[in-house]
Amino acid sequence: MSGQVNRAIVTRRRFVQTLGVSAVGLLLAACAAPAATPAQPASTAPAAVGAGALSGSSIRFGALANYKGDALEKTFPDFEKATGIKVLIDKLPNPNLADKLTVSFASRSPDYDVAMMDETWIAGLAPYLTSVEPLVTRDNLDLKQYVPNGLSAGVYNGTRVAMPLDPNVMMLWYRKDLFAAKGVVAPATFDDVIGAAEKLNDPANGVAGISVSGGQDGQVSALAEFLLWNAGGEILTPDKKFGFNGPAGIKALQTYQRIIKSAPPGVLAYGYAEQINAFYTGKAAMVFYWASIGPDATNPEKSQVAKDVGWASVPNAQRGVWTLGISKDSTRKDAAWEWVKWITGPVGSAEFTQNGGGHSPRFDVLNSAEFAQRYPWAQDYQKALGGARSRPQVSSWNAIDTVIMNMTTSVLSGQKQPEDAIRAADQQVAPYLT
Amino acid sequence: MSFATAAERRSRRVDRAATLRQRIGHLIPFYYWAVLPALAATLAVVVLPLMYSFGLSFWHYVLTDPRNVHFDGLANYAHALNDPTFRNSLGTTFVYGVGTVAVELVLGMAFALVVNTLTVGAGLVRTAMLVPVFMTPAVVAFMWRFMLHPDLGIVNYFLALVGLGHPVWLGDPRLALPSVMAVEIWRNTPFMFLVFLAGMQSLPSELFEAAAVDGASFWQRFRSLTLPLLMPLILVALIIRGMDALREFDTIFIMTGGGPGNATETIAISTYRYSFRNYDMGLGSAVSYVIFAVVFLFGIYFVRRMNRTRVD
Amino acid sequence: MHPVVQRVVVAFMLCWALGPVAWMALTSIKPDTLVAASPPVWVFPPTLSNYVSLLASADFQRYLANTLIVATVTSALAATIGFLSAYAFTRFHFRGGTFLPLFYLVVRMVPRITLVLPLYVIFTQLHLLNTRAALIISYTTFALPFGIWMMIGFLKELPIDLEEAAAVDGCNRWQILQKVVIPLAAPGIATTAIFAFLLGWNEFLFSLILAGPDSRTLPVLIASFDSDRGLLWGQFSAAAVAIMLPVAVFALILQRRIVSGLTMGAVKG
Repeated sequence: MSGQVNRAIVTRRRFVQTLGVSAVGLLLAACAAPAATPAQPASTAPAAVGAGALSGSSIRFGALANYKGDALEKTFPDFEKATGIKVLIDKLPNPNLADKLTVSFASRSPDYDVAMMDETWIAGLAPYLTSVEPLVTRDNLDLKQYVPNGLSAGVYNGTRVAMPLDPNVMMLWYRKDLFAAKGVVAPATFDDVIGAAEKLNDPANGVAGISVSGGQDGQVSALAEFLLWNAGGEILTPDKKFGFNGPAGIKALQTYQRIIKSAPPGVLAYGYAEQINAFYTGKAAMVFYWASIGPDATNPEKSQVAKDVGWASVPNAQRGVWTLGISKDSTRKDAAWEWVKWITGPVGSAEFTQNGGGHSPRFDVLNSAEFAQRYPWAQDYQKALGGARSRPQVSSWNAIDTVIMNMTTSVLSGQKQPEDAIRAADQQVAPYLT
Repeated sequence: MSFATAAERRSRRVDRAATLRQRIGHLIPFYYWAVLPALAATLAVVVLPLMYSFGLSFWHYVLTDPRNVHFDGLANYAHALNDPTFRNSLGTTFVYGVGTVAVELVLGMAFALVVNTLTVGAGLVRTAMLVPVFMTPAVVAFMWRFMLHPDLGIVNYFLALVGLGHPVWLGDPRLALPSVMAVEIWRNTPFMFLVFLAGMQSLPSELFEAAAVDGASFWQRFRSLTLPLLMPLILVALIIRGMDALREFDTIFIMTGGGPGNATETIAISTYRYSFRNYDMGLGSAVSYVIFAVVFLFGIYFVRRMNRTRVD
Repeated sequence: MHPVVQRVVVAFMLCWALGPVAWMALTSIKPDTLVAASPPVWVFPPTLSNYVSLLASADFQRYLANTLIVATVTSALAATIGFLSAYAFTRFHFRGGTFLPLFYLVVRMVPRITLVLPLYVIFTQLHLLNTRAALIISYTTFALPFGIWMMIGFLKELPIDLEEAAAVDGCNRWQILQKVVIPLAAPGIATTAIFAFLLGWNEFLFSLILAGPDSRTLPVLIASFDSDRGLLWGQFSAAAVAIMLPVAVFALILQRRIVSGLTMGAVKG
């Protein structure tokens, strides 16, 4: 009896409540609709502000929770001494920094005045970022000191909205001893790399030719995109079409299939962590990965093969620049700009690199003796960065990249043939290309 | 006692009842403010955002594209329901939910049956089984990702010792979903075990003794006594675990991210993908409402079943 | 039941529950180069360097403090508020008394990811971002449905005569609660408190989005070992053990109460 009453109450009340919820929801949505982007204030040249005037203020800085964030944090005392500005850092794990930044900036009352952002996020965050061009002009910043391929990462739709902090680029890391043993020469192009991988592939002895990712990981789409460039294609054609759709795309995927035959047996589950680990533990003769692993690869505490590691650059490598963007709704833009200038300036950038944070966007730091001592691959790094390619700057890049990743993993795991996978991906990508 | 007549006693009882009713009368407001804090909090933190989210699901609102915000009617829902990956994720979620809960139920019951017969050590086992229940889901996910690693994982090490090969647990599209389900089962079977054990221990032992005397075997006692008597408990456990399994996110996300391909993409992962990878808040809201509807229908069905069994 | 079957199953269960944790604890005291060694190394010189660097890290100390505060307050609030609601539902008949418990059941079904963005907007407007208060309010609300249902189950079992007797003896509502109801319902309250504590301790997504450097909790720290230089398994294991330890100790002390509370509530509720 109570069961029936309960059921009746549930049904009736649930129905009424749902109606009520829908009505109020529609009403709420109508008035709480996200505000249209406010009109751009006329861009007058900002009055020159002496750094001394900002002394005592503080800025909120969103950064990565890893060695980069730690390296940045170590530079704060010197920055404060130089300008009197206090930096309050919030460190977030890599997969989540983008989410937090987007939610925070889009709410128009952001948690951060300035934040670290990967160049691929800039297209999406651009509506919420301050243009730094007036500031560059006002302070006579010498942009020639910066590596061009680092600077261009911060430009979206012709406007500079971010400054480069730490350009990263994919390089080849290889085992000099294994190369020497088999008489293989250091590769100059990626075709050389594939050839070397096949020659060095020695599954009987537990050593694979090359370590790559094959699982659900951004490295998979990164490599697929690189292979597309290598095959002469573009990710997005000038008329905004999916670049994999064509012979270059098919070749790229087929090359990837060829590469994994020289990869360690578990490659299909490899993410970036397993990928580099295979190299460190001697399971692969090469790894094609970001330059940022250099310090670890050559560190005997992290890598079992540290003393035998060599490096090389190949053309068309993928570039990935960490930049600094200032939020448009920040109330402390000038102080934030002082931070950006300092940490990408000769003193701050050198300190950042010496703290083990990563590479520098400046020629003077990259060519300095201290840098070369800590990062012996400095010259190859610059060569790789000079010849690097960048991903298209579209706000829906995340979605497109995911489609490329899924397309590639479905081919690598044997679920689809390249042509079918590309066709399916083409359809999935279509809504994001408008 | 003997001094008061029956009539006097009766009138005293009536007086007491009246005083009690008076007291309760004064206290009627009590239940209003007793219920208020929880209700207020829930309205503010759950219902209000839900309504906002519901309204949002009818708009085209992509965070990274703020100039293109407009009312879209049912477009988001249509997009979601027509999207083959989303439909696929509905299927995956169903398999995930049903599979994990079924196995957890059976295993939990089996464990409880055995431990119920223990004379010593039951406390130790119960304490140990609390561990998986208490661990942070994110920690569980990373831990298993490490253990299921094809080269470095301890699982494959033991398998290799026995000569069973080198499966790529989280990367093989055929193994990924079972692996992720296995981790969920690892984490939640203890919960089922604990619930069923306590249920068994609260059953009157005379029934079982009588049945044993009558010659009923272990299995017969289980089928005709334990199972029917525990049925309400089983249903409660089913509801709780079922709803949670349908909403599970952290573990799958950290272990496979929904991959390889879409092999482990449940509707919760789909929601995350739309909301936080594509920053399409409108679509993300629509998708999470679909989840809510699914979980709700599932819950209502089982609640009614439970009420029906309770009545008798 | 055959003793061999018993022993095998018990051994299996102990491995099931404790094996992975033991493996993690072992990994946490391995030197870095051996962590990823395959085949795994069983005998090695143990090192506490992972724990030392973890405990010395200012982030860990801050997050630990935040997590303790958030979890404890959530636990206390959820237990109190939930108890009050459950008591009202079981002792009184009023409009909504049958509807509200079912309402809370439905609330529990809501996928939390739906709430993230709206709550972010709401808390921003209230200037409550990067505060522990925001987390506490959210987590308490999430913990309520389970707690209320648990305690409804308990309170239904408590005979009302005891309370009536106390009322007749001249106690007001508060005294009745204090002297009669709460002591008897203690297992239920304790269970709710524990599970609310767990929720506050383990919640990840909301801590990530709603909290800032002053209020963030430990689970987010776990994710930060996932850097572009690879997963720092050694340090991660140490952090995982550290995160588990307080809760494990808590659970050990109260294990009797937890188990009886959890299951009784489920059985009767």
